[in-house]
Amino acid sequence: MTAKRLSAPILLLLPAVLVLAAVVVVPLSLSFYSSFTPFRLTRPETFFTFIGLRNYRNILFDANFWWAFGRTVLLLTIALNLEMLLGLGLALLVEKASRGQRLLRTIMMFPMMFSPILVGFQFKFMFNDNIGLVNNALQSLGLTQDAIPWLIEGHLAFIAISIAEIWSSTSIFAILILAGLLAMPKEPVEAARVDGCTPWQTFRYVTWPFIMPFAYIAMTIRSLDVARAYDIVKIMTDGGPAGRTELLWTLVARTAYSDARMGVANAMAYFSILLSIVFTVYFFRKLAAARTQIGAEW
Amino acid sequence: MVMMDANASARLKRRAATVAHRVGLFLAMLFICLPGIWIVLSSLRPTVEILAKPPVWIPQQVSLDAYIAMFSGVGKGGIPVLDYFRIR
Repeated sequence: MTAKRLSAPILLLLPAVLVLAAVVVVPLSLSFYSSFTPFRLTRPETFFTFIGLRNYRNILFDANFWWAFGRTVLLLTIALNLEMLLGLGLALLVEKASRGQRLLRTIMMFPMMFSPILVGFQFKFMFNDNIGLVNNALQSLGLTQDAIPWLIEGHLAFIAISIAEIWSSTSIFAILILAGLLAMPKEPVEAARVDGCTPWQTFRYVTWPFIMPFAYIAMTIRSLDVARAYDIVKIMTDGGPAGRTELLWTLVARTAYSDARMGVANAMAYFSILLSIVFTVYFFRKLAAARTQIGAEW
Repeated sequence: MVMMDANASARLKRRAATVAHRVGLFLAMLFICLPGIWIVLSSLRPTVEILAKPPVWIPQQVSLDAYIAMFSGVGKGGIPVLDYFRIR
């Protein structure tokens, strides 16, 4: 027996490592490799042509890509800020309710029960310029006479998509911030009131620091979600009109499957992941700072 | 006398705050629920009424046709769930 036997810990870890390698590492490295080739789905032999960084250089000078990139960042900014504000408001309203708080919490979770595809279809119907509920409401309130082309005009379509996104995900913020409010110790608030703080001061300097970590957790989750926004946009406008609502991942999917240019699409995808990484790192820094500020033990 | 006035105004203020809170809560919940309510209402009425302009909120003819169709198999709007489990 000269053959060296594998030690027990390595042997025990081996199944997990093998499975992980098969389902995560191999596909990822294949797609990463293909971002350095002119791989087209229609011409499989192109998979073996190595062209170095040419795909990356091409997308860096591609105006369409940068428009999609900018639009994604814009959607991220709008959606995250409004969701934060609305979610905070909703959480405060629900927390203040003395009766039926359980029922309110259930109703509050309601949008999270819809799959994003269904949210897309529902809002596509509501924003329809002819029979949609939004236009009909505006017309019967007398705010406008003509049908507003919600999903047909570029900027309005972007607004419509933002509203759908905000409707479906404000509850994530609300539920996490509500958790923060409920977990918060009550003594500091009472002390602040005894010391004669106005309600605004109590909120700003006592309550807010306590719920800030929760808000940052929600921000991290949502920034990842919105940075890979695809389903709602795909259903509502499909990147249209004339590419005015094209986001990063709709562009990647279009390049990969409609145009069959897998190599370029993978290059775009790997570049877009940078966006998510930047946001995650930023919010985690903020989260760590917010936790130190309140001396959290979790 | 002055004391009484201060009390009364404080009570009034608290009352106004409660009303504002309830109204805000109601509006927020309404906004959250509307799309869902519309889906539930749509499931209870014929397509003509769903696509009517202006929209009909309260169903004029309530019918369970959609629900019956859902369970009456392929070709009638149903999902062939049982067929998925059939081997041949």
